[in-house]
Amino acid sequence: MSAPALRRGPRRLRELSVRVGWGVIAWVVGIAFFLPVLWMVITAFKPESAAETWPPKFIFTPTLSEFHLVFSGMGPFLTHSVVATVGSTILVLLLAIPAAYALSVYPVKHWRDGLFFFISTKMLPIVAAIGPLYVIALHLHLLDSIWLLIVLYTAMNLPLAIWMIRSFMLEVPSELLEAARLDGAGRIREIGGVILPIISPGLVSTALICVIFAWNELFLALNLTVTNAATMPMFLISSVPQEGLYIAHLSAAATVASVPVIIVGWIAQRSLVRGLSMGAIK
Amino acid sequence: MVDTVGDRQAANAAGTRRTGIRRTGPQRPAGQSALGAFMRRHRLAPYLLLLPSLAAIGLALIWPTLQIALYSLQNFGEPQIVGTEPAKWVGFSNFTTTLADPEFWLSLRTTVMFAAVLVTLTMITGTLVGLLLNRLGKRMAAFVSGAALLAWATPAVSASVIFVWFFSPDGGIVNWALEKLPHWLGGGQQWAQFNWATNGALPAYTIATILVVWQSFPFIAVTVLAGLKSIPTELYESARVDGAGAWQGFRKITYPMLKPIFLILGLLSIIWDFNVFTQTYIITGALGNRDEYNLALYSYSQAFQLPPAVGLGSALALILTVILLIITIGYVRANIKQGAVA
Repeated sequence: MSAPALRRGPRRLRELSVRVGWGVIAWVVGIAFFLPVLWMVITAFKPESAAETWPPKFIFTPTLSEFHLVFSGMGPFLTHSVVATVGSTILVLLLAIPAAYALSVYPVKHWRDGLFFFISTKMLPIVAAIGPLYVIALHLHLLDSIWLLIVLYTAMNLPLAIWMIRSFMLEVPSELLEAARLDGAGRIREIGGVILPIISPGLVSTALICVIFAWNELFLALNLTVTNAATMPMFLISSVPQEGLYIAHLSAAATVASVPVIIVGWIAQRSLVRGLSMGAIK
Repeated sequence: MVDTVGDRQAANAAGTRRTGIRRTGPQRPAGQSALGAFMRRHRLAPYLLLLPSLAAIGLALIWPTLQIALYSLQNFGEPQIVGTEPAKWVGFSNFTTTLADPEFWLSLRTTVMFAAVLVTLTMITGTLVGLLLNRLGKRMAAFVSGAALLAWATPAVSASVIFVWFFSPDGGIVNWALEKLPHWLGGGQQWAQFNWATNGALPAYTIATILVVWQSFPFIAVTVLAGLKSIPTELYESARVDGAGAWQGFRKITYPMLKPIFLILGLLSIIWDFNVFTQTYIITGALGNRDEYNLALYSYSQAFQLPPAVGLGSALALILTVILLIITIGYVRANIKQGAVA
């Protein structure tokens, strides 16, 4: 009895040190991710005079004055961002659910080609296409209009959403669909009554990813809007200082612009992780 | 490419699922109308479901693409935008002008190098963090992946302006931290006034690389983790019985099993990293230094120069698409040859 116990001793020690080692690495990696965001948030609460000192100050009296300044100019930008983000995300879901259904549970003949057609649109270099897009928008009188952003963000997020929702639909047990069909459920009742309730967590994570992408989008907003539809990233660009002490102000603006997506990401962490990986794997 | 990846997918989706996909709706009640019968015979209903999405993509992407093709063959500029003069067909002169521009080749070189470094770094760090997450206990894994998600979700604009300041030679926290580091870790006085914006091969890209890697490897890590979770642990156990170490385990089991995922991730990374705009736009100081343009910045400046040259920009867009297609197809082919997607 004593022999195995003796042998277990050093092995335990080795296992323990390995676990501690991994723990240390994990902390370092986690903090490396976390630190930039943390420092941004801390700086946002500093008075401007304390933000730009050398060496950096860690002890200071927090103030909300920079936030007051930021909030005072932010209103319209925030509204535009919310409208464009929410509007495009709703549209994406409305379009992607039937499309994903037609590529998974009830597939068209060329469902593979369909899938790759959608993802191949991601190859188009939007950056290079901006000049023509601008001209088209100009001719349609859609420049500086929130509708333009909604349409473009919808098209931008649609392929990924279709891929993700499709992968969730494939996970619905076929017995359930079979049973619903035997009960005489039509296609619409099959989608609404059986599939959607089962994949609702997947739908949520899809929606959240679309929200994050739309909220963070700068390029299209920068080039196609001026004042009537300018979004939060543009507000942030406009706060980039040319000269002087602006660091605390900039941090406050960056924090405000980041907070919604960070909250969204934090709340939905698990489903986001799942959704992100599902989209790429299946 | 389409078929091989698709096959793999179908194989992933497993046999039973496959039959589930293929099954046509049995015992449907007889249709009332002739139209209904026609649609059912030709299985048109699912196409109807696809139609709205196709229309949206067509409206927002395909139509502009066709317009781009048109503009690229015209002298489309300011007078044509305002409508005072009709556009003239100029053949391929937009293409030859672009290809003869030394700035184009410079920015192409920058883009390819930047993308190569980014893809390599994000894939390696992403895979390593994915492996790490797989080893950690539940709580630690939640902490690390939560922090990673934070980096991923932070708007690129916020992250860019903040990173520029982190790396600033006066008051930047990075230099401060490097100065405080012990000597054996490479720290010391020399960092105090180190200027990240003027040192290095392509100064702006040092910060841009760190920033883009910081923001994009969480996605890789999370995806790799999901892939790792799908590998049966028995495989590793039997490998251990056969005396295989950790590296052997990765090479003989993990890598082959995850190859399809690596292929897709690599593809996505190439597309993304080729088109990095926001970060370089802000870090190079809103189009300050032309020597440091990547193709995204170059084409942006071409399209919005004064007077605007939409024709040139369109030609450039098409050239860019072709380059990206060549690179991605080459990448996929190389992987198929290696047997990634057999």
